[in-house]
Amino acid sequence: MTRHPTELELARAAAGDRCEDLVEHLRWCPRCRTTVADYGWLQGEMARTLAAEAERAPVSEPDWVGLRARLQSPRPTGAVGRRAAALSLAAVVGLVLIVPIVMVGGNRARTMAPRLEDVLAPRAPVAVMGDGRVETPACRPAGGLRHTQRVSLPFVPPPTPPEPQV
Amino acid sequence: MDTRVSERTIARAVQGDEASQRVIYETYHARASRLAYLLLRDALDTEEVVQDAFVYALRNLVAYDGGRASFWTWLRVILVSRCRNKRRRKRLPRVSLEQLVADGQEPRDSQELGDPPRALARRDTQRSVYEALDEISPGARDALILRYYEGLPYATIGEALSCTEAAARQRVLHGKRQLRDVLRRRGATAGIELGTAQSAEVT
Repeated sequence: MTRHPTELELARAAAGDRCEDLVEHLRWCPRCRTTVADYGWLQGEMARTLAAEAERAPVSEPDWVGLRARLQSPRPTGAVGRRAAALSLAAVVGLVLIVPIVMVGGNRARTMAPRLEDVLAPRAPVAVMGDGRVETPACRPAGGLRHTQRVSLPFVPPPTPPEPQV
Repeated sequence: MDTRVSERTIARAVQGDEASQRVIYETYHARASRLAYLLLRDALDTEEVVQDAFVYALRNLVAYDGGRASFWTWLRVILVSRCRNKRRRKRLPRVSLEQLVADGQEPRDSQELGDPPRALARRDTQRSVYEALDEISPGARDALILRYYEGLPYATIGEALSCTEAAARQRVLHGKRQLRDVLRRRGATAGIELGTAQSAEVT
């Protein structure tokens, strides 16, 4: 074996599953030998710990009367339960299938079809009025723009950084 | 631990004989409770799951095939499945060993009563291993419990955990690896040396 075995191979070796190569490797490699010993120790310790914990487990007295009462009561999962489960499943499948179709279909129709008012009266560019108001043809009666004077916004230079003081 | 009921008792229970059903229940109750407690670590949940498993088993006794497996093997599959369902529905509460000791559930080992330091060391080690089991993944823990408490072969573990034999083997190996990592991490604080003392014995 030219490489170190993996941890899983070593854990398997500790459980007794070893090939000749691995045995040979363990003969000269103290690190892998230690890992195998760790796993061997762990196995024994787990068996002892679990047995001790099981012995300490709080085991209640068998309650035959309660169990018999449950055995004699009707089963909760009858025809009604199955029908309710089938209805719930159908409702979920319906929601999963129908909701996306409705949503995607509606969005597609809305994005693909041009609006009526855009076709009849195409939008003009936004105009900034002299008093600072922003007007578009959609928010004022047609022809109103013709009588107002268009002005440019005054140029405001960007603020300059302060001069470094020596 | 080798408790079993006769095939005749089971046959009578299948036909609805209450006395036979009671014999089956009382024969396997303690064993089922211990295994369920290791898997769930909660006394109330254990009681509930054990009763559920027996209700299911006794109602579906017709499905049990005595020629294929022992009754306990069949009941264990039902029990483990119920325990896993229970754990999925509810987050597993973690009970510290300090609390168990405070509750008066001190570990007892008659062989170590005359050797207090050894008993103390043993108790510390068991406490560490038991607590470390809490920190590994539930699937790996179930596999380890079935392997090292029940002593099952991988094929039977796979049957109980609804997976293949190879997957059961991997779960056990990964569980051991996780457990070793947890113990090594804690080793610095708890003084656990794992099996390094015995390393010389392995050749």
